[in-house]
Amino acid sequence: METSGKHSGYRTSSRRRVLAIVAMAMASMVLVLLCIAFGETDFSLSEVFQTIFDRESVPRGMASIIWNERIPQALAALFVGFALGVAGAEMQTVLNNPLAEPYTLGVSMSAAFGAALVMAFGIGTSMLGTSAVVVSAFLFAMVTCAVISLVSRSRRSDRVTIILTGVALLFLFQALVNTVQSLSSTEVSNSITFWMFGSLYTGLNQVFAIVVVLVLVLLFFSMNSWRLTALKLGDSKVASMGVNVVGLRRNVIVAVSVLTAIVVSFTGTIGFIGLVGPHIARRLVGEDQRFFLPASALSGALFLLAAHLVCNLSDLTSALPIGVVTSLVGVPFFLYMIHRGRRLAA
Amino acid sequence: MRLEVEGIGFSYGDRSVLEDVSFSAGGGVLSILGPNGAGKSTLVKCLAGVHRPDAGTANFDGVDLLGARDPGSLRMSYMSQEQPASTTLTVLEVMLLGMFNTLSYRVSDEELDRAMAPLEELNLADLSDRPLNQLSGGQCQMVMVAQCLVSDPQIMVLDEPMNNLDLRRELMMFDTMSRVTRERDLVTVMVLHDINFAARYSDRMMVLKDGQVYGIGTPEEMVTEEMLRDVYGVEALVDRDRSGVPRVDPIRAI
Repeated sequence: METSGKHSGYRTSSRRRVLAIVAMAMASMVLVLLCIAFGETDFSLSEVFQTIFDRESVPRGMASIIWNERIPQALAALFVGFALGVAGAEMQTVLNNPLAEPYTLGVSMSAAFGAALVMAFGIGTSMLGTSAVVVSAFLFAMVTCAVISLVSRSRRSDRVTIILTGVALLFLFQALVNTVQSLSSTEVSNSITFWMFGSLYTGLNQVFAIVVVLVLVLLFFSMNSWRLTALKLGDSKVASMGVNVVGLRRNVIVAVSVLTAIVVSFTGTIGFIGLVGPHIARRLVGEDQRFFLPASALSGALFLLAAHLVCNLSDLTSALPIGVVTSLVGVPFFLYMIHRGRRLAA
Repeated sequence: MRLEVEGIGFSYGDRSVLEDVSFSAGGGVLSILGPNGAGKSTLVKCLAGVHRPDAGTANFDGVDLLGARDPGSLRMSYMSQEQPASTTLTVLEVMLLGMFNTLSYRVSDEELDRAMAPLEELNLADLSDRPLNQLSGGQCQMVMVAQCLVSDPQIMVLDEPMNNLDLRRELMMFDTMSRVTRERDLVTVMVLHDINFAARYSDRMMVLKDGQVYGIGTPEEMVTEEMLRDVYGVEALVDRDRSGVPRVDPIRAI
């Protein structure tokens, strides 16, 4: 008993962290239900439950809206938020930079360019079919991650250099996407524009594909949670403990690229989830990856679900893309983080 | 238990930093001294597995230090100069990371006891729940030294462990390291800058100059006016303190 009393500080803090994660998981479930219930036509929660558990007992129109539109979109918000939260958390971990995330570093936009190339010109579709979009998005995400990783390894690089490099890549790929649009038909160009703002109009099959990749990536991150936490001690220290730091960083970057690529190819570019989610998680549960990883995923999911709900509740449902809502919150947050970082540095 | 290093060479690109460095060390404190750029930190990074040398061998008790590092077969702790001051990890979490190779997802009370023991040994237990980014530079340094003890090492390699410490803490730290080295029968290799402290607390001293071993021996053998002139380019007087340990009184740079 004396031993447990001696470690009461650590045990209490661990319990508090688990509670925070459980609370976030429950809040996510509530938001999923609200996202299903509210939209152009509002349903009560009992109607939602009845449709989910006994589809035949409700009017066909209601069942169709809930099963074909609301549930896929709500689940997409949940798992895309989850994926982008995880991607942001691990990019911040391996680059040791709290401003890093797939969107601010240009990874999402490069994946978007890869996907747009296939959408506009059908490159690789003869061999890979529709999965050519994902493969192309992944390859460009990888290239961008590799460039960012190389820049971050340079001794002259500080946090701002890495972010500025990312922003430059973001602009570069944005310009390249615009070039692709100008070279393609009006119809394709319009669909790329719509998709560039981010959209949760996906089917259950796409959501399932995201979940499969997410589970594999989470498994890899969970197996390496102590190593990833140890990166906070500095590369030299971790290398001396027998960890292949270069290999670990490379594998994380590949995993983040896969995750970003699959999300971007299905839902377009939705920014700042990977920035806001891990920041909230860090405040709530600290930087121990055993807690930080699930908390970042859930914070990302909560942010995107809340944004989706705002779109659903407003009268602008069809006019206000999800990416715009996340950016309206994310950009001021990004500026706050930059100024906070400068204040701390000073 | 012996550290045997033979013919270590290392280059950063075309620039040779270490050339044919050989030495051996048994139980006790071996300090590595030399002017800036002499290759001290690079040498300990090679020993710790951070850098892979271009040439040479290093063995500790029959285990190859330079080959694939199996944490199970080698009980080595390394403290680098880079300090993780920006992290919000608590001191106890940092201690746990010192033995993460043996931890599962849930940390047991026994493991927490092991993580706390060096903190208690170094009078840092009160800091255990504090985030590292709220500690002073000196406290952070002490925690990182404590972390080196948590994995129950046989050999400790410390790169300038006394940086950022005030005089009192520096004395306490030297006393603690000497005691721990003696009691646990460790091989402790420390990169140091302060020649007087190094002479007082080292069993043996190795002096590096331009990436090569200038000399290795007892403090009495190594701390000489000639060495200070040849290696550091400093004119100095060397006398003895009350215990007979050499003491440097620098006069001017040559």
